[in-house]
Amino acid sequence: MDSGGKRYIQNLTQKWIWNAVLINLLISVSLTAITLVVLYKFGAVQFWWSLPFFGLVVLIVFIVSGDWKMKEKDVTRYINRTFPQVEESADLLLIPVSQLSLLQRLQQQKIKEAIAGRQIIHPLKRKHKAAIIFFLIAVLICALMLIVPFSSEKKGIPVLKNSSSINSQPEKKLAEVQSLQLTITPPAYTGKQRRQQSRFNVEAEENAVVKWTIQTTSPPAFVRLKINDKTVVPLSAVNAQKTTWTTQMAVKKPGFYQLQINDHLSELYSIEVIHDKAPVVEVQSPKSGATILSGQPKVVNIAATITDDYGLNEAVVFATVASGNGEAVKFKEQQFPLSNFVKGSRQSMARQRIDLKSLGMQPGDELYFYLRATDNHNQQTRSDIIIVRLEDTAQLLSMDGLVNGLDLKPEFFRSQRQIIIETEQLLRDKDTIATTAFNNKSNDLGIDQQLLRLRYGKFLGEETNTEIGEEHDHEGEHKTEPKAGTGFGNAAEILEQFSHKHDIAEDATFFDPETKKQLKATLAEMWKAELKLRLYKPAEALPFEYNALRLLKDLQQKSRVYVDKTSSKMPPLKPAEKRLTGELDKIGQPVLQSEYKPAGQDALSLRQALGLLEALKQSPANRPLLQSLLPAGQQLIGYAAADPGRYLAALEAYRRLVNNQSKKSDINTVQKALQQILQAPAALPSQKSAAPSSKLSGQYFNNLKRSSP
Amino acid sequence: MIEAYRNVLVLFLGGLLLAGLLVMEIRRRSRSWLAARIAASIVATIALVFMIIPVHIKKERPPAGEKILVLLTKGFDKDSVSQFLSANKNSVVYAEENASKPSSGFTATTIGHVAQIKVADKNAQAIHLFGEGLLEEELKQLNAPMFVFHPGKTPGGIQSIYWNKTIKLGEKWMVQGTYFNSLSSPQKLFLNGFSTRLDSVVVPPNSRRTFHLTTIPRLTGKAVYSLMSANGRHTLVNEPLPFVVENTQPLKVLLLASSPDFENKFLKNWLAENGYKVAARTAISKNKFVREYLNLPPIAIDNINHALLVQFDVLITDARELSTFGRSVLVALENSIDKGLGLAVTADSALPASAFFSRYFKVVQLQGQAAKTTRIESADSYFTFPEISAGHPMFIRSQAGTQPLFYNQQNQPIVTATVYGQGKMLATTLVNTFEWKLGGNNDAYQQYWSAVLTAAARPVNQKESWSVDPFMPFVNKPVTVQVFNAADSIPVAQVEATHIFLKQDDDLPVYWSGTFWPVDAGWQSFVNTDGTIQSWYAFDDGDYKTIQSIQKTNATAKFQLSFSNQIQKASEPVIVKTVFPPFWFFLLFLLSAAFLWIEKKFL
Repeated sequence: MDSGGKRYIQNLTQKWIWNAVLINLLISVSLTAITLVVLYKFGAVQFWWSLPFFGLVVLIVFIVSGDWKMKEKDVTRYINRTFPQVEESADLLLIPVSQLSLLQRLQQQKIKEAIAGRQIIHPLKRKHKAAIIFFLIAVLICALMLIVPFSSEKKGIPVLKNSSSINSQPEKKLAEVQSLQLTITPPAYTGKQRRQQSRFNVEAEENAVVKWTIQTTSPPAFVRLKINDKTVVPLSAVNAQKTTWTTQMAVKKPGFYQLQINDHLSELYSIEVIHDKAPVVEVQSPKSGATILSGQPKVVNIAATITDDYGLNEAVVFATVASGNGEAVKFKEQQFPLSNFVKGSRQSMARQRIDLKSLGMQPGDELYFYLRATDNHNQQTRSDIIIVRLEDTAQLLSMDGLVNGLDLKPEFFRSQRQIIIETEQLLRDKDTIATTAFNNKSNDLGIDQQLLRLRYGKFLGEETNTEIGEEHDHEGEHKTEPKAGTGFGNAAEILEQFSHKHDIAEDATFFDPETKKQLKATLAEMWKAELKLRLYKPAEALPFEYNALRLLKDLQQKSRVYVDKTSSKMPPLKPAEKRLTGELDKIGQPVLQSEYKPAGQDALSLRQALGLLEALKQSPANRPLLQSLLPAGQQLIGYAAADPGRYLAALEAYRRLVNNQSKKSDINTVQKALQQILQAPAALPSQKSAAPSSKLSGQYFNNLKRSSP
Repeated sequence: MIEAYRNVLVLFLGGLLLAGLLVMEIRRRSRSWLAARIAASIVATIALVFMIIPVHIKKERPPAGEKILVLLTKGFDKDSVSQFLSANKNSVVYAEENASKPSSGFTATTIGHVAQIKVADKNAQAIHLFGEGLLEEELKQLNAPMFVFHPGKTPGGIQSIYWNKTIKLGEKWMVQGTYFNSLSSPQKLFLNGFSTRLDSVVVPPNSRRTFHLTTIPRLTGKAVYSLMSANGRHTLVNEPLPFVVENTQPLKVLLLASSPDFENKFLKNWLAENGYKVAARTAISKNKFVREYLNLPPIAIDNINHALLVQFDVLITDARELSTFGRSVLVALENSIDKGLGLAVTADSALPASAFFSRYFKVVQLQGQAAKTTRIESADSYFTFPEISAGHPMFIRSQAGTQPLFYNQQNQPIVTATVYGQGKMLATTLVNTFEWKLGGNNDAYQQYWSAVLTAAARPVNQKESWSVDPFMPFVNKPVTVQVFNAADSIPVAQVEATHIFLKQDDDLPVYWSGTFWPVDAGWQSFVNTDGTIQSWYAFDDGDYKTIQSIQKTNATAKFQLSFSNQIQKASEPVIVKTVFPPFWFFLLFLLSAAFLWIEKKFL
């Protein structure tokens, strides 16, 4: 029994710790689920992210909530607090009986009895409940978010949503029409369901089949659809009473139609067409013109987003490797599908890793690639062509075109090329030499880099802090030698050594500004290389060294001037004597005449109509005015057929105007549509109107002429 | 006398009382609130003294006994009116119908027009006019020796406005003006045309801003755009902006070139595509020419003479071609320009130095290393031209009598124009505008050439021109029609069906004018002597309320100036003594005493 108390406490502790851990896990799972579902819905992440994310959340939750770190002491303190019966001495349960005094033993005995058989209220009970409720809510939210968007597509034939402006307006039906059932069957590739509506205004996918079924109140002689004011489509009676009429047609172009029952024409209804859009390909990475430097992994990671309105069928990468240079350039084409592309999806986040080695690319080669996406209506879209280069360091280091036959003198200064070679050697030796030796060598290279920089700095008229002599660089890595060497006893030379000269005017104009700029950039690269070398980080210095070398090479190439060969001498030309002395009597003098049809005549009649409508506001029933609106009305029909959503209302208003049944707002409706149709007119030269000329003004102008300079 | 003794006595007693009070306060053992107690004692004593001794104050008052006519117009300040009336008991008050009713304090006779004022009242000694004021013709009916105007607050809204009443198709149309936003929230001003928002500007709260709204109208004929101001969704102002857009008539252009080049080729094509009539003669060799007739039947253009030049509106040519002109050709050209022909020359150093036009256009070669491209700027349009290659940059020296139309990047004129007789002469150093056309900048090309050719083209010779006098004619308000008529006959003017009888100006015989009162608002027709009809717009009474009000205020302020002498004589201040009501002293005493009591009892 003496260890019984302790065990009891230990049991409790363990149980509660497990509880705390369970609570934390529940909270973590709920948090992870909600966050991921939300992010997934917005298309930001995919589900495999859940594991690392879950780990992170667990870590945070466990750090924040310290319940699981509970100790036996904490438990006894809790019992002390919650049970007055233990008289603040539950701690005694943890101490072995042997170490207790008599009084303590009695007390221990007493509280054991007090506790025994009592249910100790769980300290984490509330948290436990809260965590479970939170978890349930999270599950509910996730389920809702995942299910809701898909539910609408699964239900039978949906009723058309009133999306476009024209469909939100109330429409008038003919009195003879009892009911209308308009069935739109979209083409199969759209994956959309057949739908029905009871409105006349049609909004359908391109090539969808639209079927009109009209119930009439009484049997009419005929029922027709008058489409775009031109085509007439008759409806046929289905039942014997001749009260149900039907027809169907495929919708290819937007337009408008009227229903005609016997002699009664309905108002204009619109047919709007939802065009299938071509897929959209967006390449996020790599950026075009990216260069893979030596040392970087020879891998291209393609990240692209491909979207389409109905569904994607195929996504392919077309890659071309160009290798070699000059005339020996070779192309190799390859194509491969994108790896995680899902056929039929509307949006695809394509990720593709291209291993350049497996494509057989060598340094100096270039990879051209583009993405081509095809949607399920066989519409294709290509991305821009993206170029990735593998840097060729061998080319940079080659001595082609630089070697000459002269005897090379020993180098006092290491060339940039030499510094690179030695830096690379140093990096290779890194594992085999002592750290101090490595550091020393790196520092030495830094000094070499400094000397080189100082020497190039002289070209720019930079002040030197070290006397570095006038050695000639026979590698030809810079374009000009600073000055011609002279012998001993040259007074000017000696003077120069001891005098302190700043920018010498001649030096300053030695190079053209462009060259100077590049030289400065070179020096900046050298500075950085030197810094890294002196910090014993030759690996980091290497890119700067390469940059400096590249810039130097560029400079060198620029300095080469092409000099033309001179050979035979031509007799001098005598233009002054010969010019315009040819016989021209056989040369004709062409006369050209042409008539142009002035542009913008159609627009002009619309422009005039706009002004006439303004006049119509003041005198509404002016017949001649209405007559002169006719040509504009003809054009308006064309516009309404092309874009019924925007101009159909205007066409109706125009018709009411012409038929003298206009409402007050009709003129404004037509004017607004015309304003939208018309482009801003181009500026054209015209005559200014002057005040009527009289003798007085004539004299004035003559005096003005005389007084001017 | 007795009063004086009384006053001395009261002052003495008051001093005694104060001394006693102060001694008691200072001696009191508890020294809390000492300063306040002393102050309260002093105030109480002084108040007590002045309750007995009456205090007189001086007030300015107009001479009593003479009648004053007070006229209230819209926007008068109620407080200042009631203040004025309480000072001038002998005033008669009239209020205009549209002035807000005086709520309390005084009564006014409501009148519809100044003419309704009783004759007896009209001849009052002084007239005081409150509010926005009256129109000039109404003011003329008021005849009193003294007239004082008390203007009300400036109403918020459009303060001034101007726009082009007639433009050509393709031109930019603009509205400018000042707007006063008296509200504490920003207001948005819209230019609205055919239910479409064309331009807008935001006026910050409690501020006065000039606004400038532009658009290129897309119609020909009459249009009424509107200027709206909105505070959130609430429309505050909706005013009409009537204007007329005239269709452009194609010009007749004669083009003489010394050599074929792209500039002329593109210009010819562009003009011809737009329906312009172009005759072109291009030298291709010595005495060999290509002749082109676009939208024009072939005519002889070998001999340049006055009879040929009269048929064209503009002659476009270059300096080299001009230098080949003989003496007689130059004389014919000069005469034609004098009669209205426009001359547009591509000028360079080849411009013949002795010719009549050369003194206006001194071409200077730009020194120093020039940039490869340049950007030209127009003198008056807001259009930004894209860059163009500079070629051999030259500019024309600016001099008196010439008007620069375009500048180069260094702000030197590269296109200048001058008036020569009734015609215009224009020189340009720009020879590669076709680059805009090649580069797809059609807009820039059109802007440039329409500015150049419009400036050069022969002006339309009108027989008669007319205008209406106030910029904004209102219905039932007088409108002056002004007619310029160069013919010797007497002009006849007609508005709608009404004949207007015109009076010839005494000094300028070509200037005729007549006044009439439009009855209907909206578009009105004006019939010229030769029967051609033109349109103008009469505004409704409800339009531009603030501007009407400001016009009245200005007219009234101007009217008041003519009274300046009388005002000084009549307004010599009469000083009146009145007793300051002792009630205020009693209140002061009560407060101080109350403080003293409360302090003792509770604090």
